Amino acid sequence: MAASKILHVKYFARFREQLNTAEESLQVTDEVQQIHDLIALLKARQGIWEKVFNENQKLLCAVNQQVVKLDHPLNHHDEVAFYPPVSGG
Amino acid sequence: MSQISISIQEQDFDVNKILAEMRAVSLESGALVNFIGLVREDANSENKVEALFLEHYSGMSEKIIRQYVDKACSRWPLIAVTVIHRIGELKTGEQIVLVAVSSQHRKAAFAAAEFIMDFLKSEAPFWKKIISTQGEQWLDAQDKDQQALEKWSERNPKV
Repeated sequence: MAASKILHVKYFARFREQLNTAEESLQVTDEVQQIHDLIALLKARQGIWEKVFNENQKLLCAVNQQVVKLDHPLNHHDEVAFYPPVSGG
Repeated sequence: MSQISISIQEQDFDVNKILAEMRAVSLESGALVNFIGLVREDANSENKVEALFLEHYSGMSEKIIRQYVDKACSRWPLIAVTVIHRIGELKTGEQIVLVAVSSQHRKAAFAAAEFIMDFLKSEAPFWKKIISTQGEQWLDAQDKDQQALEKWSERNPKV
């Protein structure tokens, strides 16, 4: 059996509403090594998941509350967040 | 060491009370600058803004604000810094955000307050949803907020 890891994934603002999900814990195989592998996995859910991750060129990502690029590696129990460009203040 | 206070909260804040506390930090304070962001009606929009809904990434938003407050403290000689950002539903006219900075002299206090506010707007994970007479709509990030950061580039010798 392939090794696996748990990822804690959060979605914010427009994405949270569209996906109807604020957060979830996912058990993934070790083949999910980087953020873009995780995105591919989420897009495979099809429907709104495919639409949100395909349509949003400006999707931002943070791992353990630090902004990262899509080739950032993923480790067991990482907190991963997907969100649109910020608009506070 | 500067005295730093950062709070993300639903409840409103009393600016006079906060400024009085900051004045009391040190008699060396010669300048106290504060910026307050308000929920405004958008005169250019056909839809009347009734309220904003503010969402944030709990944990990360505090961390990002702290990073930029620390940067401001290493760049200017600051005595006290207070940042308050409200979340939840806020009606037009209500206070959203406070950045207050004290220093011996005004130039440092003005510059640091603007620096913190510019980075808070473009880097801290907060999102606004407009609640208007026409319904609800998430507000898009604005290019001018990103452009504001260029002023603070280390390569820019003017500031």
